[in-house]
Amino acid sequence: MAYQTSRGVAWIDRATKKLTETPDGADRLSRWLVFGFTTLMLSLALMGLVMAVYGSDRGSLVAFFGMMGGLFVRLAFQRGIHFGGGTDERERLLAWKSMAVASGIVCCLLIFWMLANGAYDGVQLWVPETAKQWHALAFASLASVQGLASMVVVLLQPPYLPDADEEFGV
Amino acid sequence: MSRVVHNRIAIFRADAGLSRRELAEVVGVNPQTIGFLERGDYKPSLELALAIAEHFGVAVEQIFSFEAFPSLSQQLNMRS
Repeated sequence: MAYQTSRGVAWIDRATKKLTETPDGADRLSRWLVFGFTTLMLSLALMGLVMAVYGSDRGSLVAFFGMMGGLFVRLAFQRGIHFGGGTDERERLLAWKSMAVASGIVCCLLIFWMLANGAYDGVQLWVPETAKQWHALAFASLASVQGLASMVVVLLQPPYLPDADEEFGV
Repeated sequence: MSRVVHNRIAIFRADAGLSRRELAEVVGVNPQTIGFLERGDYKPSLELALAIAEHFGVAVEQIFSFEAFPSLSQQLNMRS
């Protein structure tokens, strides 16, 4: 499949370039926009988990929206990760590597939580008790994986500089 | 084991008068990936290496090698 930039990325590139008027500025702004929205969605999912911990019935719903929002940002605006386009082998490698790093971090935290619960008798860590709390935990975990993965990609991707590839040696 | 893979994509590309973007379109990758390859920051898959060699009409070992390629001036001095 021939390589093509995702529509979301092309749109955000055009918009930020118009706003900043320099390819360098556009790259930096679009990068931090993705980072910012990802952080926002991740916070929303974690907030949903905290709400569920404190007994709110809407916690799982908030965590769900946080997860879906993060997924949307990742698929629509994350450079190199999108459906329907031709991501190339290097970008796919980066995408999988970021997922591996993010899921590793979240798995380690979950393992620590389980071990801590099992090892210390009498130390009461929070444990989900209702179905909605389990849902909130699952959504928050998934949101954390994809949110951290998006952040890793933003930090590891080199500058794009759409119209200055030759001059800037990208 | 990780060995350095040298390449002379930049020379072939300049010889053919292609920009990175044009070469990237031909072989179906992001223009950034061509820059990564030229700088030696990324090792291509066999498929991509063969696609690049096919485009320039040469064998893949003419472009990629474990040994460093001699510079153009060294090659000219060897001939003269």
